[in-house]
Amino acid sequence: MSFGPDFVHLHVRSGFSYGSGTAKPEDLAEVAASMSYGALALTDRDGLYGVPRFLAACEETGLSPVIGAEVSMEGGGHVVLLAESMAGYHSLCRLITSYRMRSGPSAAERRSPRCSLDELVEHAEGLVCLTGAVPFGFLPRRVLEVGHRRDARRALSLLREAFGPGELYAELTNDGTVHSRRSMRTVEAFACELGLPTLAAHEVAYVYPADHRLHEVLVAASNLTALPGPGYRPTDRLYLVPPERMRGIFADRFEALRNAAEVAERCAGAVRLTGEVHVPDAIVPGGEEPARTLVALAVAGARRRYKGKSGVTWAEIRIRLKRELSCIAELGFAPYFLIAHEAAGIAKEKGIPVTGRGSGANSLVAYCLGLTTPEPFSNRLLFERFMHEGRRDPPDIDLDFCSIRRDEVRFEMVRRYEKNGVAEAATVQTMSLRGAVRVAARALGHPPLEIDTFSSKVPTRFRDRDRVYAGLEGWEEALREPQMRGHPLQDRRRYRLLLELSAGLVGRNREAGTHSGGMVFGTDARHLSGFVPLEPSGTEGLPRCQYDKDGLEYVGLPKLDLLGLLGLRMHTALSEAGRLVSERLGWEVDPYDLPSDDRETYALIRTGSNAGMFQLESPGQMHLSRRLKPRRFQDIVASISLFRPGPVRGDLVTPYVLRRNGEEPYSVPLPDLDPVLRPTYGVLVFQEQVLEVAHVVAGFSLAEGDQIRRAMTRDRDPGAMSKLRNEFVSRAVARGVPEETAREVFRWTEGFAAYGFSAAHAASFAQLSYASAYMKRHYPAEFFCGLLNSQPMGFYSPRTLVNEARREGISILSPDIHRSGEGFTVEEDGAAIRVGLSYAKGLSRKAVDSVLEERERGPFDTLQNLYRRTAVARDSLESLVKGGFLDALSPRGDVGGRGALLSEARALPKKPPSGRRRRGQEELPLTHPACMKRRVGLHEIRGPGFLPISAEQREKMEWEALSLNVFRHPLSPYRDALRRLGVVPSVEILELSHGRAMAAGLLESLQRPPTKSGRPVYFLLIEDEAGLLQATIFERVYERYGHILHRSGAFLLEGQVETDRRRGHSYLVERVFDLAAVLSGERVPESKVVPSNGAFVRAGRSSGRRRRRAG
Amino acid sequence: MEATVSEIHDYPLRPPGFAEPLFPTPDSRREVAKHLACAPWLSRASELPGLTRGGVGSTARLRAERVELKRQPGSGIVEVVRPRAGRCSWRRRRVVEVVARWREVRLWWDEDASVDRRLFRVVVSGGGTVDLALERTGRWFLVGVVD
Repeated sequence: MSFGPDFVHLHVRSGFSYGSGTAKPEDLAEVAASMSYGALALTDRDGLYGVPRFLAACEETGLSPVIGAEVSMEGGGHVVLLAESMAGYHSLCRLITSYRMRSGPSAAERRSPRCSLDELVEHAEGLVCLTGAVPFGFLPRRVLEVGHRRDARRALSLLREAFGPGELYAELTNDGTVHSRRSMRTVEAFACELGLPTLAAHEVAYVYPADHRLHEVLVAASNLTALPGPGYRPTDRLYLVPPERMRGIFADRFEALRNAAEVAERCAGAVRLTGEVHVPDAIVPGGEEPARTLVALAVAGARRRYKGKSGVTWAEIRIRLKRELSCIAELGFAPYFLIAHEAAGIAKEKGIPVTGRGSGANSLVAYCLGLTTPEPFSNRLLFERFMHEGRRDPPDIDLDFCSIRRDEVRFEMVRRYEKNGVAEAATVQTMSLRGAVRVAARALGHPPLEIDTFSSKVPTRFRDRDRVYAGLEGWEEALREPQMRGHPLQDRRRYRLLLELSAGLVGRNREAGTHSGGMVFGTDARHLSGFVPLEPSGTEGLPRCQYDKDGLEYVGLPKLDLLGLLGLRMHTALSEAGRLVSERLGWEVDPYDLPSDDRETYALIRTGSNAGMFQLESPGQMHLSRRLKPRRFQDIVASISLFRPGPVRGDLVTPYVLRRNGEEPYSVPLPDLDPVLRPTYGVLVFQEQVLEVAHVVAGFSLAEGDQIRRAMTRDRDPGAMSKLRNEFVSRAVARGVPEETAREVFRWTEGFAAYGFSAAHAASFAQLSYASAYMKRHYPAEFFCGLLNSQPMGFYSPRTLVNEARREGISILSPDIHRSGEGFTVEEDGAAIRVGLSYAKGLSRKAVDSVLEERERGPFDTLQNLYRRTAVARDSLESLVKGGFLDALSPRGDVGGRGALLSEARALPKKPPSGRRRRGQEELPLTHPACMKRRVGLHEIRGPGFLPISAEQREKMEWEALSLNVFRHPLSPYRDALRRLGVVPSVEILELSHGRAMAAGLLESLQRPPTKSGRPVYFLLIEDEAGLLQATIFERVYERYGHILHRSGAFLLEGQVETDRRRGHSYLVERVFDLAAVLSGERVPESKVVPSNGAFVRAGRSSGRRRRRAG
Repeated sequence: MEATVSEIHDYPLRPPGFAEPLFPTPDSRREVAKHLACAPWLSRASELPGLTRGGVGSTARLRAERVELKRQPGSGIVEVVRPRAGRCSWRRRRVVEVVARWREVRLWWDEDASVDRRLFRVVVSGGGTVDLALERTGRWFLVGVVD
């Protein structure tokens, strides 16, 4: 085998070296191919993260891939290891796992793992070792440093023991710096002296010379320093050098060039990771065959779930189960189902709520195993959408757990499957524009405060949007955004370098992250660390593998998602609400076993007052609920599926709503399609319907239909599509369908397929939506308690949720040190909720626990008494006073005493750190007798600190301490002033059909979702005393007033109400004012404006502080 | 007991008082200089870590001096011309050989101190070894005299 030019790059780092490289594997492969290289290596530092993408890119470009890694060694330096066989790949995975898993628990240690010589020697099988680039490689740094030659000889003799002849080479590189040639000659002379063959190489860290700046910035950033970073070399020569130039550099070293070509020939294409699925081995009791165990479990589950159910016959169940089980057995995925079943079983045993989601709900087997909840027959769920014999990629079962207790399941699974290896999937964290500004500014040596100023207001990437700000053009666009008005980076000349660097960094890899719940398992035959390197994830006892979900799919490792996403804290909230209701009523209310088709629940959803309802609470969904008027479960499923970027962009919502409400007739191209499309009024909403259309019209099997769906949604290769179209039309014509109709159906299906949503996924979510709506309708106090105790979650800030609860007629009780629980609690027989201790800013978990424990022993009679008996710190004491927790302890015994309490708290001595107290020493020094007058019962109610506080002061204090409006809605005091200005309450605006109206409210969020036209439209959600109002802002208005939206937190809006048959009700903003300015400088308490991912801005919330679960 | 260098190395006997000419001609001197410049076993004092700024080695001259490189038409001979050379320094030398070449890109983040140039270590007529830098602007500078 020959590679044309003799030279092959064998030491190449990509961006997956996280801080030591910049290039994407795809770019490396593409540029190497364009330079006529026949092979290329990828040798990222201490990892194989980029290998799947590199292999895929090499397949695309026709390059022969060489797989390896640059391994950091103890004592400094690195070696390059190249796999010359699959055995070598497995050795490399195990070696990286070995030394990475040994690194300490801190982030710094995880960032700098080091391999020992012994470990390297132990895992040498199938690997070729290069001794490292000049001058920082393992051997060169010892040879070049005066007095280390003996070390070099000793290390080399050890390496020679591990790597036989032809497997160990002295790597010669020239980085183009002043002494590089001399250093290379020195290493060469040393190698010659000891009879070690040399190999010509070049250390590649970026694709083009101009990228050296980004590389150096990333090196500095990954070491948390300013430029120059550690090991700085004044060179731009670490780029992908063309072959003719490399031959020129090594013109007088023919032997080294020949060795490079010979090693490349041996290693190229040696590692192939695709084409096989490594199904994990389940633990089956009694060593029974997994497929047989699965059959037994599925049949038993079917009996249990379908007992007494109508609408489906046992024969239908039996046929479908048989079909599914035979497919699962044929593909060998029975153990995967058993492992999922085991995880769900652990959760059920421990009383942890669990539901399935995703396309797995299409499977009757999954339903019978209790993994999913939507019933497949009644919901028209198709197994082939999930799995069929034509699909060789691993299946994907997603399980959602209560996020707080999810780890109990994960750790139990790790314990059970430790023998085969278990790990979390990785993610790749790339840089947004804002993140890039921070990285570049830090590298350029700007102080932290300046970095904050630079990065604030810089637009980040947006969820649900196709484009990100990229390159210098992207910067220009970003700087034109209204929020950037007056921003320091507008000074383009002064910050030219910062702008250039950040533009170049956008989208580059920043660090490896951990998937939100995807777990991977090894097999009996091979430990997981033989398939993929493992490393610490940051969670003790839970390793992470180095491939992300796409990489795992590429190498054929099925991933089981054990999720506990923030959005899915709904499980936590619902179970908390269920517990509280059960306690109050004395009988069990299970949020997962509620009466179905409750009319009052649907009536509530129809009003659009959906705050807190899972998947139905966004402003868009509220609006859709008012238009769609759901009356049955299928309406919720459709609602969830329709309000997605695809259907919104494709405008599927309007025809669906009009047809659903009988305002527009619908027709289908063929009568045969009627049963398929009738449930969705002729609109192709679900992906499953594509399969059915192909089946009904062209006689495709459902499995073939799924292949069509995948081709339409994923690949969209014009050639393949044309082939599919011809096949579809010819088979339809053979069945008697007119050709023109067949073409029309295909075109129509193709158009909709890109937007379709999985019915199984939507139905799984809809179950939770219904449960949350039911709980809100029937047990609102417990429901809001559950939500407020599970923060951060959902769409709304705790402030808005509290105001929503107030609007629902629930009293909000002030916090009280003796009555407040850890979280919100229900009082007055479900008519009131009380603020919990966890909402006091700065109060530690330990402090909360100590308060709850101490008050059981006896009430606190004074502030000092509380301070002495508990672990509350002095600063937190102030927070408790301001929040109103200690009103009862004040001399006046009410709100008016807060000033006195604050003075008292500030006069207290600080507590020494708990670790420094001697055994038996009191936590707080005793008060000096001279100060006795200020102690218990001796307060003098006079002086400025003892003046009663005003309502505004109280409101301000509570906002500072709790970020909640406990006392009243912040706009209440301005009710008359707003009325005089002509402001109309939000609920009245929603009742208007047209006309001009002014609205005023506090910011909840500002978003820019995708639109059908692609033109930007902004949706501002404000909250006033009466409720929530979504306002629409078009581009022209946004450009003029956008800066106010990004600077202020309370607005006065002037606009037009319009009601359109196709769009429904909308409030179109024409002018925006800062409410505080309008109210003549009145201080309107407003929520803090914070940038947020997925939305431009939203009301401030204490997302950094995790709310604790109420005890 | 005393012995002369000639006795120790078993050199042919020389008349008493004869000084052994180590480098009798300019060519022999150049050969030695060239050999030393390429010798991997020899470290310059300026390259020893800790002795110089940054520990990466430097030459005797740190300040850049503007020079001109003149190519004699037809002959391929290149001369280094120092328009501002002092009375005690050479003004014009022929480039005999390029011993090494490298690139230097440093301090690009500091507008005033940034360096982006190609460097050439050349042996000039008369036996000297100097470092010449070619800036991106096309101007040449003498940036070092090798110790």
